Amino acid sequence: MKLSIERAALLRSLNHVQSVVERRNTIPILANVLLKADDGMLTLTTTDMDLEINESVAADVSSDGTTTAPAHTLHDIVRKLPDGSDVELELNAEGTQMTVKAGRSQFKLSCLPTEDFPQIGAGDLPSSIAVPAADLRALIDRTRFAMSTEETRYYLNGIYFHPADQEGVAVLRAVATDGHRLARFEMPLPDGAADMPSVIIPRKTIGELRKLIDEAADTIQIELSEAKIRFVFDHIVLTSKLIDGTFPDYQRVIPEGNDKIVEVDPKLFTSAIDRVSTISDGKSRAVKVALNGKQMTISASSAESGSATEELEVNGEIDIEIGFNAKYLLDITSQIEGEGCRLTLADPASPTIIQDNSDPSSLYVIMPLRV
Amino acid sequence: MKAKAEQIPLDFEGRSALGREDYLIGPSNQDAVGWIDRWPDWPGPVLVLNGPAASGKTHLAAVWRDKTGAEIIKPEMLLSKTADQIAGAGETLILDGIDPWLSDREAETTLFHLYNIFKEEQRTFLVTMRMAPSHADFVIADLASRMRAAPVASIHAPDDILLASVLIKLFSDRQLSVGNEVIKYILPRMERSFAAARDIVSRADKVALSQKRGISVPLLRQVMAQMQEY
Repeated sequence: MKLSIERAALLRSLNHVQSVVERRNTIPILANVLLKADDGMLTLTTTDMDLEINESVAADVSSDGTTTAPAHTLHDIVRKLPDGSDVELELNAEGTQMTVKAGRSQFKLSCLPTEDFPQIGAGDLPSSIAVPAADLRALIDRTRFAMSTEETRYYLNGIYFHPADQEGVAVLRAVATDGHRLARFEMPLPDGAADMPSVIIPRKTIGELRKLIDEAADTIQIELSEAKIRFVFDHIVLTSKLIDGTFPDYQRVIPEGNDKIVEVDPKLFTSAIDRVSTISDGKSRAVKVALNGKQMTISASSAESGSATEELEVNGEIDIEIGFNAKYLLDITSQIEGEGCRLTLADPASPTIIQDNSDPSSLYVIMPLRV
Repeated sequence: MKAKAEQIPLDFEGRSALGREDYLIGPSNQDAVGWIDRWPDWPGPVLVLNGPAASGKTHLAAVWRDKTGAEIIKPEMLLSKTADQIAGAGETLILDGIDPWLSDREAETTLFHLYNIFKEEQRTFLVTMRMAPSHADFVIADLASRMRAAPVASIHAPDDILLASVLIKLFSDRQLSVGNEVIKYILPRMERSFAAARDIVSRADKVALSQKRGISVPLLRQVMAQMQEY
């Protein structure tokens, strides 16, 4: 294998694929990137056995071939090479060492045989849908903050994508929850998605996918089965296993009988919570929201730091005092782009719904703190 | 504001698996399972399935329903419907949890007529109750004699092996995998009942979700200490 490639193009591809590779690996080959030079293209593949990214980039290939080289090391080398340089990759005759050359720099990297490299991306997936990149971005951005990071609840460690019916309209819905709050976002159901299986996409896949979307074309092709999902971009294919678990019946935790409604300016609300929560201590970051007539008082107190209060004017007249984790409130209010944030409450021990007045496609549920 | 605020979790209740393969069998309930499996070879028109709260009577009745296609009759219908109307609901019937309706003359009269209809037509129905018929206070002597003569499939307090399996099943219904050390910690410290197992698992699930922790021995220590305070 011998090829020459522009440093910027190689770095861009390595940036995409290297983040799949875990820093610590018990299986040595998983630390490597699979390099395949063929027909004027260099294809780079990395995997952690659950997720695979495969990217092709144009290169001046003088001799076809394949090998695997340490992904993070190769990425670090290419990152440090001078901008505008050309990089030459050449595998020795024994297939054990690859030389990386640029200008006066030369590196020799140990390689592992390509036959040992696991392939999880192969195989046909029965369902196929095309989703505009902007919609997929919104499905992720509006919900990802609510994903659980607690490993025991493996079935909450991702976003649940599924077709649903919203008052007679077919939608593609994304839902995430960590058991303390829940985020739901929906878009019109794309063609061909009515029969798609309901799937839970793992957290790491969501993170990698989100990084790639910004550089994607207008539309992203999604192929999926009960066990795997594949996202096809221009020259990038991301294939991931899905979470083998049952997402909870989330509809039952979205309250329908809450009757205390109040509207607040989301920007003022967000800044006030942020300021007041400076005082709240502990993991819970507790703030108390007291609504009294047209006034909202946000307060926090801490044995060590002192106390804080801030008042806001609201639309609607209700009386209630309820505690929340400030971080959870901020995560939600920072998603609200419109001018009105609507809170629908019941009592201090029940779920509260938060919605963007101008965006019916998103809905958030937050559970209170007992303060 | 409390020094340590407590996060209330979303109420995701686990779904119970109620199939025959999900029903766990041990020495305490194998006789009852034997009676269910023996149908239609029952000696009379009624089988009484008896056992304490949360011992699995409804689950075993659901297993029998899957086998027979029986209709489930709410026991309060003994007051609102006639025996003929109830008998017309299905070829085989389940009356789940009749204890509160005993000692009510009207309800017992309907049940007595229902018994006679099923005996006459050689049909079968299943009654579940917490109390054994021999200890129940019937007001109609003819019903008392028939119910006390009926075969009784009893579910007794569970042994350790069954209780351990039930705990694992209850955690598994909630998609929670637990280590042996957790089960070993719970078993000698819990009340010997299915209801206690259900309460412990439900409470442990809620506390773990609230505190974003796994199901561990320290968590169970906290949960069981809290339960003793109530």
